[in-house]
Amino acid sequence: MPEEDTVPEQEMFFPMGSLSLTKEQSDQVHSALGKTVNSIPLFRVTAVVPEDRYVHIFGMPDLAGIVVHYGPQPSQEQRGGQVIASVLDEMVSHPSAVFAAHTKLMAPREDVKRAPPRAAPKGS
Amino acid sequence: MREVLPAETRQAGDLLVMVKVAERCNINCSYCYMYQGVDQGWRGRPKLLEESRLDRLIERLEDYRHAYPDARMTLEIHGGEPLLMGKRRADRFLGKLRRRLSARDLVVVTQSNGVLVDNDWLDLYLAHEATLAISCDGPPVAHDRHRVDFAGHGTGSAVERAIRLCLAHPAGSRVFNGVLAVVDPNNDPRRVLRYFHELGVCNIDFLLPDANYAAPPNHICDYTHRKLLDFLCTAFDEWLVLDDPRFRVRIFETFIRGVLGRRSELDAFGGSLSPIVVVESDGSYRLLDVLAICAVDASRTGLNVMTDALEDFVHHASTRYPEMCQSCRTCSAVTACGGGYVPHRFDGLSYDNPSFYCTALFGLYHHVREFLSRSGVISSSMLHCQMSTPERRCIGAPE
Repeated sequence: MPEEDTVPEQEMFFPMGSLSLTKEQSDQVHSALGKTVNSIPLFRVTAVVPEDRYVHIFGMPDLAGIVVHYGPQPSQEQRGGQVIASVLDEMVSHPSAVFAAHTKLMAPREDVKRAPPRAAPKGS
Repeated sequence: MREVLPAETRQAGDLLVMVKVAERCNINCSYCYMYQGVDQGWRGRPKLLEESRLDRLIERLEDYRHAYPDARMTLEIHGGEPLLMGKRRADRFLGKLRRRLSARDLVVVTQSNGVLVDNDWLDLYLAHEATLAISCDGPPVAHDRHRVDFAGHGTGSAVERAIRLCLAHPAGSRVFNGVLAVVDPNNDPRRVLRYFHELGVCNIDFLLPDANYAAPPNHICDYTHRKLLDFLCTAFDEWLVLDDPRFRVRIFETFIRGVLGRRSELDAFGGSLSPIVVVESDGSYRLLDVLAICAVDASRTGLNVMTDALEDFVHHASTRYPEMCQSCRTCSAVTACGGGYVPHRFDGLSYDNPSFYCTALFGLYHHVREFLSRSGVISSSMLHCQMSTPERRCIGAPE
């Protein structure tokens, strides 16, 4: 029966194998650390957040467990919601009072002027 | 022909007059369509638009307002560098103008390189209910690639100072419109976007460098259409990550509206060109001055502010511009790109081509479209049934 553990926000390291070093690389490590190292382990690093759950897996070779991510996947995150909404609002509002057909000029915008003041620019 | 919504707001009689109050510039940008283009006619024109012609222009604008009382009218003070006309002359000109045409009758805007901007200029513009925007390609390290003075020194620090002045001015939101940035795809788009956002600029646009099949953008190191497309898509994605409704990027909004079927009135994206009057320093009325990258006198009309009414120009111009090419008319991206800027379609002989930047414009359109589909703004069924690969003739285009 799989057990569930609550995992605090952190990273989990799962060993994947090792990477052999060349003689030059080994010599550099020895010079820096005083240790003889011929290979270094590789890990798959999985970030976890409080909503994730680590589930131990028993009886499956080479698979100790899985991390179950709850919530929306990064690809499902809504980017640009506010800016898209403002563009859509502007499309249905009254036409622009300014005829600004020339791309070589940046014309005034009524909506920007109505916006609340932004943070003061960083000092010159 | 696809059924599309009409261009956003165009009304009969709408007019934009771009007046070159100064035909010279105090910096030497490597990509300038005016000073680096094949048409070097500026050399034979006066350095400044003389007062009698300015006075006549004011009369022409007033006449036009009386003829078209409901039209939207914009006066774009341009150049060269418009601030080279000097504060005294500008104050006199704007004073006369405002005694005849109120801010309600005529919107007055200026596009400056920023080098000469100071608080006196900003106060002057505020006093005459005029506004100003600055051309800046990004943080100084990016800006200084191409926007240099005549000694070859970058102008980025001075321009950043000018932008900060505008933002810090007590009436900054009323007098400063924002920034135009010309794209060099070798710059980091995220860094450029965040630079303006962190400065506090509310309104920017990315302009494609003025180039075509006969005059490609040789000022850009190792230019390819793919790099340009990557720049635009990455900048779009970064704009979404910032997700600040007070930070607007005009080209992205244009493409969002285009995906949703709303055509732009911008000249570079299919908007009507005949209501845009360029008044040169010799008083001549000309077509789009960016045509200077195409051929000598490509913009010539033979009309002049001293002898001809503004509507005479509009009627004349309506017969001069080429139609969109056939492949653009049936392309899925046309509602957003409008076939691209006319000067960008020239191949040395003809304008009957897609834009030189078609690859990037088409790619950006579909990038925006896919995002809107994933976000649920448009249904994926709309995406799949309307997506099509156009027949595109990209002559000698670096893919």
